Amino acid sequence: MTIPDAFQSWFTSQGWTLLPHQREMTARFAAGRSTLLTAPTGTGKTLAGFLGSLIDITQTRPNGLHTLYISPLKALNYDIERNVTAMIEALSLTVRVESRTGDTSQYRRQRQRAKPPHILLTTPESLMLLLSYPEAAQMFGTLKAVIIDEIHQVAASRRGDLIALALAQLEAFSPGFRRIGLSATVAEPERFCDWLGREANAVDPLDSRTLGMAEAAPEVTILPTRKAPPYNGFMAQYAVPEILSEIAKARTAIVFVNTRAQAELLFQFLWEANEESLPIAIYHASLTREMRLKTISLMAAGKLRALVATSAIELGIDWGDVDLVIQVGAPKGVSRLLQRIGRSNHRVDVPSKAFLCPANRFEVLECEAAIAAIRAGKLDGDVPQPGAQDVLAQFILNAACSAPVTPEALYAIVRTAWSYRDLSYEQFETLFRFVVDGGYVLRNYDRWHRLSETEQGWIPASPQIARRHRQNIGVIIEAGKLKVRRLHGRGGKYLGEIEEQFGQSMRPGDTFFFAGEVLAFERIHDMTLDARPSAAKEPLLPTYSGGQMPLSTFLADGVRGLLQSEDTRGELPAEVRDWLRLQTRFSRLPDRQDLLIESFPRGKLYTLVLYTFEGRRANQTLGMLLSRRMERYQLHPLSFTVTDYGLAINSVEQVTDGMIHDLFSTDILADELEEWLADSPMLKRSFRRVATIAGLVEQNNNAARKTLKQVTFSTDLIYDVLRKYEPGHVLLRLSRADAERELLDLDRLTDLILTFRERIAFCDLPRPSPLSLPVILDVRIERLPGGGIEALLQQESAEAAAERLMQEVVDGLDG
Amino acid sequence: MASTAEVEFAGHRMVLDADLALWWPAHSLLAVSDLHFEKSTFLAQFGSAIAPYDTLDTLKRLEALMVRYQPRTLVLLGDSFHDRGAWQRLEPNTRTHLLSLCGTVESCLWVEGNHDVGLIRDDCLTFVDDHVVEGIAFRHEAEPTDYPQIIGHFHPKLTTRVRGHKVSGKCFALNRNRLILPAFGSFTGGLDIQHAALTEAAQGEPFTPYLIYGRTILPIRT
Repeated sequence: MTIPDAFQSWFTSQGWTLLPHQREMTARFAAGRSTLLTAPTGTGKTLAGFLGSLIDITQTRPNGLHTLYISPLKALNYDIERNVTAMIEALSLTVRVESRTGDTSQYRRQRQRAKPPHILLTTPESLMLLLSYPEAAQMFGTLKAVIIDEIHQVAASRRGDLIALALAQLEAFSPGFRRIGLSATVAEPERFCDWLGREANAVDPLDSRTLGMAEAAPEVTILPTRKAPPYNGFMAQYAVPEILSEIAKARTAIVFVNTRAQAELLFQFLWEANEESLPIAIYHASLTREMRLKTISLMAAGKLRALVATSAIELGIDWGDVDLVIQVGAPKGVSRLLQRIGRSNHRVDVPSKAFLCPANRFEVLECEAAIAAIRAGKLDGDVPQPGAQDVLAQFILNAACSAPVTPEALYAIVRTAWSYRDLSYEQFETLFRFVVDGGYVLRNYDRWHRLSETEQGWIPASPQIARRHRQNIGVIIEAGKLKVRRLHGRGGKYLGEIEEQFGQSMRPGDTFFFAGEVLAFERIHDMTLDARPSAAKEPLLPTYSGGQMPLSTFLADGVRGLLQSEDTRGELPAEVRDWLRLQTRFSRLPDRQDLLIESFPRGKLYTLVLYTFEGRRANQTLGMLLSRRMERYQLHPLSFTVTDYGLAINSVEQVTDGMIHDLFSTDILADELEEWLADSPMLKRSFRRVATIAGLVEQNNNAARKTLKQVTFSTDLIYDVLRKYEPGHVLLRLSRADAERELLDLDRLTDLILTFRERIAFCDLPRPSPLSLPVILDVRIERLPGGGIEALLQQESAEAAAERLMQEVVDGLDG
Repeated sequence: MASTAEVEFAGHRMVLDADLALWWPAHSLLAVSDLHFEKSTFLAQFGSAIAPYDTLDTLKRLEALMVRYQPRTLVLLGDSFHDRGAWQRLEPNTRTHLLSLCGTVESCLWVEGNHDVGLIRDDCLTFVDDHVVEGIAFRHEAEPTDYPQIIGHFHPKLTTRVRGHKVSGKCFALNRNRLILPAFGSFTGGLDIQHAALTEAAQGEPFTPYLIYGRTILPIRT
């Protein structure tokens, strides 16, 4: 493959040499081959993805859409549009590039459908919308290539299922187009190749690192601090002075946190201590688009010294000259951490630099485990799974909106997607029936079909149905949102959005942090929350939902590994070593051989602690199941707390060695699970998600904002009624599967019980063990009780309790 | 069996049942409000695929209450039907079932609610504006006067914390002159007790909510 002269001379004039993987990608494009490219940040991945298309468009001068680019983020689309447009202009190419997202104007949308650009940049949801229009077959009939960026981020999710189905549909419109996946890090490239390709058109992996583009290993260390990390907590307030001084030393820093609430709080802490008035900004998904864009441009222009941010900026956007990344709170996964570290330093030959700042002593272990994994070059991360069927239900209606469908023909298309290759025709038909009329057996419902049958196939029963479907495309279920407006005189300025539930809980005069300032609540009307700037220093805290990430199994195992070996323990910070040493003397350390379970009195109650290292979700499920069984044994469990590492159950009666095997046995997965599941809030949450995605209830209905209020009611009510009268309904089946997979981590739990049921190390202790403190005193809850200060106070008192309990252990051992 | 709470309203002993009904023993009177029959099929007309079992479920729960209390008087406090076409959309056997259930009591009173206005119906169904017993009026919406009224309309619900646990559910709302019943229909949402419309209805005398959670009812001090 030769690069055309015009391109070559332009590269030469820029002083660029095409990198080996860029050359290889271009050659493969010319040969019509599909590729999954993994390459480190800053190695010209975008050029590698687009160069083949640009050359092909220049040479063949196609009329119509040639290349479709899909990324999970609108912001990424704008970034890519800028970069590709700049290249096209510099080369004076006659290539049209446009982006199409939820923000695209009505006029531009219509023009795009009538006269598509050569290259269209879009999101999975906007693509689905385009596929729902009658002109879809024509618009995409000329397609030659599809590029999916940040593939690791989307493939293993419902949005990935949406893409998989879109690809299958596109294949029917334009057979044989190239499929190109781009990613920085992928744990199992083969699985992603399977997901991206189809049997007749295999996708080959290409790792730039094997072509001499190996990047320097990042330098990751734990941020040294004057104060030791507390025994529990989640805000890392103890490290604020050191974080500030590192910001001061760096040119531009990004301080990553795990949740939006953490971002608001840490931002506040930093400013309270920011005596030099360094320009520090905040970025998370709840802020308005204008504010976010402003922050991005300030950042790109080098006018900010630091940005406190959530995962909203993890993906490949160019954030300018960032030379330091600080991760506050546990990294939760190695790939995720590497992605974040990759935000700094876009030069391949210079190692990226990052500090980890654990929020508590247990997180120190997690940080160490992550650092060890990075050193060893190990990766974790989700891999694609069989596709979710609720997404398929949405797709069926989507296809019918575009053109008449028959179940047979649509099934044949769906089956070509790797994610849905094992779906049986019976399963598909059940979903199809659901789309047609709800699929209810007890009553003839045909007067109100959503699809009606014509000679060509099934079509929406009314234009209204297609319109409402288009308003509700997507698989991200959001909590109800209120716009936040800061009043100023008679007018006001929109700052962003806040969870409706949180807004409803406020009374006039209540204060809260938002967009980095303290606001006082005035009133709510027309889905807008009005607030005024406040001088208060003790605000309530936004309880943003989301951001709770389960620990990867891999990292949990790493933590367990750290505890096991004398050598690795020796490298831990002194205060952590002391803590672990005390644990060894008083109880024992968890290891890979046995499951450590401790039982001790606490106040007038008894606590049972299980060190499972299986992540919050699995621990929460185990907690529910065990407490059910404890209730049956009349031990009267009262409450339990979970962390990623373990769980603690408080009960009136003590669990003894003799009982533990009965409690912790495989049949809890059968007996307790069934009775517990049916009534669990988890299953109801799953039902809500499944019912919304499958189109049973709607998220958006712009036409009837007001009247919607009258017709909306909790999906819990539908769930209860459905369970009573049609327990075999397809949506109940799907929500059960959804809960099992996404919420309960049943697989992990089953493995755990099977592995350890005969290998329990039970310690009957006179008082709480040192290692149990982060578990039993855990106040790291996403939904903070009351307000932020209240949570801080709880943390304070928990910390005092931790010190006292530690002292008791020491006294007990010495005495 | 669901739990109950005894209250005194306007000098009379009444029973609030966690199955969303009011029982007045002295008059053998059972009252339920806001049944919203055929709400699911109303939504289905607009392309919703919501489960069509709400009418059946509402009716079955009403029947269970009737069997339990054997009332002489049954008061349906309005918004019994979700929309004008609801009566017509009732399946024939469901309609027969409903009418036979009403036939088991000495008097069955259909109080008219805002949703019932203009209902297309047969002669066998007549609405009343109110029903007065011992000076207490059963109405759908309250009249702005002082005398005691038992009403529906608002679908009151409540979110509160009980020993640190968030609990949320439908509720009765009670003050000196008003007793508001929760919505009985299977697919009925609710209006928070803090909402301005309910505060206004309280006329300066705060409501005591009786929260229903599962099949338990308990008064909440606010």
